[in-house]
Amino acid sequence: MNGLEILLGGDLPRVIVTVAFAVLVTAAAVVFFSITLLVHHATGEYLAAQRRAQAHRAAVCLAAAIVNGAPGGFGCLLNEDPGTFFAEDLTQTAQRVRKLEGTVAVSAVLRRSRKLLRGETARRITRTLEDLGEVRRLATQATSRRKWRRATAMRQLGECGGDKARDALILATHDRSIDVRRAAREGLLVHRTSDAIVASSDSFVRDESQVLAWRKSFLTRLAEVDAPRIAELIGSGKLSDATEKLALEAMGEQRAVEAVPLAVERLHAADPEMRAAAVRILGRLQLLGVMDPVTAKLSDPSWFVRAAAARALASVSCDEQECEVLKGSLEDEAWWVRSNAALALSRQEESGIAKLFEALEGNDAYARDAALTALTALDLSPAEHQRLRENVVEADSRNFPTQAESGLASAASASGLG
Amino acid sequence: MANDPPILVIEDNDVVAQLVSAVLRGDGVEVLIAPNGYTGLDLFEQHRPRIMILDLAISGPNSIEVLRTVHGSILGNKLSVICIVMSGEAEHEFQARKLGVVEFLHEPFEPADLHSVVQRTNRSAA
Repeated sequence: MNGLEILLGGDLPRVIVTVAFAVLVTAAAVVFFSITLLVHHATGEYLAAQRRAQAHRAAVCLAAAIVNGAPGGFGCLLNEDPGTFFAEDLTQTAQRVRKLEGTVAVSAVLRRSRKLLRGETARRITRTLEDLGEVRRLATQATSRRKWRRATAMRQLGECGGDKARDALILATHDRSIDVRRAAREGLLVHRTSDAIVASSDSFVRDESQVLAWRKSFLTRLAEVDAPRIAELIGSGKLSDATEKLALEAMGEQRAVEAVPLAVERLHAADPEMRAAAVRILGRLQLLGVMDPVTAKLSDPSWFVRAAAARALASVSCDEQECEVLKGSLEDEAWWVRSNAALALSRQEESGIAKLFEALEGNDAYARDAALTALTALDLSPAEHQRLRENVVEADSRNFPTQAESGLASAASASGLG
Repeated sequence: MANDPPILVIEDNDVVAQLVSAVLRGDGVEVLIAPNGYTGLDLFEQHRPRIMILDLAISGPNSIEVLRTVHGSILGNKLSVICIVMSGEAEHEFQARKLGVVEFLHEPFEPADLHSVVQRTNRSAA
């Protein structure tokens, strides 16, 4: 007996056979799972492609019926000229297409069309979705035990439009799951009718203590659909300060003019972040009439309010007086304010560029740095370019220390190192 | 409108593209559909349409890049652009206005709105 046989209790051939069998079984399992995965992937790809093709054919066949009303275009289904029309309404056409392309494709096409179109055409699509039983199906799905099914139903019900869908959505704003309530609010915003929007925003106020990103996305969506409603919510005082700021910013992002009086009022808020948000919104709206209070914010005690004000002035045309104030901000203690002020001046054509050159030729090292950075980013005339070069060379010979270098030098001398 | 040059529709959502196309075909206009910006620019070069309907929400290249490219080309000054604005596209709309686009169709709209905006654009281009 050799050492290995002793270790294995003298039964080496049986061990070898067992190990070989285990290796074979493992290899067979690996091959089996690989093939299964491959087939599953290929089937998934195939089904996805088939669904896309069905949706495309459904869109082609239904589009003419949707936009032109009865008679609908059905010729494409019979491989005839797409211009061949049959005297039937949208519901009949949708039923025929559904038999060929399936419920999912037809429903998706109708819901997307309902979202894109309004007026009588949208009402007709809603009636068709109701006649096809799609609204009833989704309303039933809204009572499912699985919350993801309920949430999906909410989003799709919003796209259907109509009173039945709206009622189901309003009911779901009291669902036990926060995800479903959120989906119901989104569905109500897609529904777009005034009572749906009111129900959606009321539900938002009830649920306000949610994730910040959710609050932001809802307010952005509400601002797109109905900015005056956000102004109402802010005016009602029902929102927390943080949410109020988000609401105001959402209106600013949509460039809603209803935000102007609210933002002007909040330029004097105690919270500097609120003041900065108000300044940003006014800058984004770019209304010349309201830029005076923004210019005044260049002397705000908080540096980020001053920086926001300087950035806001970069997006409008400033007069001589405002350029002078901006030139003063080139000497601000905060680099961000100086940088934004220089950017604002660089956007002001001749008067701004002249102010940047004045700062470049002055004695303040910070103002020089900011002016130089802004001027080098501009497309200057040859004469201005020459003037810039001369100033840089001269500055080199004068060896201007920046404030930081001066501070370091004085610190070194104070400690006896200089 | 039967002898009019084709209208180019750059729209990546199939349903929206088919609806817009159905409205225009109802008026007897030839419609070219591009599912993305690259195809749209190719069709623009090949067919030289006088009107382009552009969804501001398309991606790769985005609508603003498409607008800059067509305005930068020698054929760009003969082209009128109508932008379809989906929800949440305020920033792109603002940039498009800066690039000289004057006609916008906001979602949701009626088929009649599309008819009238195309007719108005045709009149101003003539």
